[in-house]
Amino acid sequence: MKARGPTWLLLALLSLAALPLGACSKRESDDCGPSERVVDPVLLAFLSQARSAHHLADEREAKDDVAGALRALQTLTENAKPPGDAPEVDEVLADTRARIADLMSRSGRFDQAEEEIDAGLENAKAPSYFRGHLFEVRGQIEERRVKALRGTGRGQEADQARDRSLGAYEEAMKIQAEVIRAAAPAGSASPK
Amino acid sequence: MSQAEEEDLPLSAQEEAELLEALEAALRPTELAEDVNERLIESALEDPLAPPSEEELVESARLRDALEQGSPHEDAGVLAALRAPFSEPSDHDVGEAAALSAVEAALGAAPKSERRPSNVVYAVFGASSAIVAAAAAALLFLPALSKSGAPAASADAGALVKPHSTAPLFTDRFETGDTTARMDLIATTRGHDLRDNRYAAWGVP
Repeated sequence: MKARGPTWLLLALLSLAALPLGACSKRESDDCGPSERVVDPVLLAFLSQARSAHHLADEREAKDDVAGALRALQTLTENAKPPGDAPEVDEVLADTRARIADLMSRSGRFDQAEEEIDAGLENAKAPSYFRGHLFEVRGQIEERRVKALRGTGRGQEADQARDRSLGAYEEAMKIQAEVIRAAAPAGSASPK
Repeated sequence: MSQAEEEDLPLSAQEEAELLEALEAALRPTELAEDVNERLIESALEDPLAPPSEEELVESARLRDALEQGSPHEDAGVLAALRAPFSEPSDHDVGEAAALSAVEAALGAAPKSERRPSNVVYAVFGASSAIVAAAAAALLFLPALSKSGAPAASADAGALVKPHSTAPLFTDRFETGDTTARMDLIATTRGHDLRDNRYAAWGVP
């Protein structure tokens, strides 16, 4: 009878100690670190939001509403990222930033477009199609800048922009080659 | 005469005429005369407000006796079961209530111990109760959370799909014009992964 109190206490303490472990793995809002996370509704909500934003941007682009398209895409990049370090989130953000940069450069906002590319490269640090694509878009941005500068008689700045454009395309080619080389031994994963 | 031979016999002229009339009526029904219609309805339905027959009176008396006195009747059980939820508490219920009140009265009237209870006992049992209650609540609510929300990652974490790069979904360099299609593919693929995780968490093979 005397042992019952301490036994209960021990069991209860063990239960209490186990509680946070269970909660960590089961609650949506918990950030348990990348190794503990699984594909969950929070990640899906973000991906769904991204999908909607791009469809909205398509519609607005089709109506020549570039500002509206940018607003739709920027809601994605300016909001807080979902908890955890899901690679999908960074890849989607990198791709979205590439599109934002492309749209900005089409309306002559070259410096802002470059900032988007820099931010996108932070999302895609390892060699991947996402990173390669960002460099491709950078090359396009600088090409457009070249045309704009030449149109205003600023030849020297245009030449510098042309060099940056070529450098970006070269970097893109290098990254794509790396990606292809890395994929080759694995048997080139096919799209679903 | 066998059935086959009977079936092979030719119909008489009258039988044939009746058969043709029946087939014609089935194929192209005509409107019934009003009096015929009324007679057909009367023969098909019984008047629900008609006075009870002698047989019905006897049967209802038997059922009433069965319910009041407990004598056997095939419908007594069903009627008793239907009546039970609306009836007053039975003797058994009254007895149970009386027993409960007696216990309460006895507890209230019992002399209180002169010995001051130990605070340690209160603390141990109080804390134990609270913690056990918390553990019970966790057991009760966490499975529900796992079903409605994120799949559990602890049990078969290896079987659940974790976030991972979407690069294997793509085999060619990206075009800016295809960004939306890439978003569609990523969202759809991870949607399937989430569904698989839920099934795995629920133990569905």
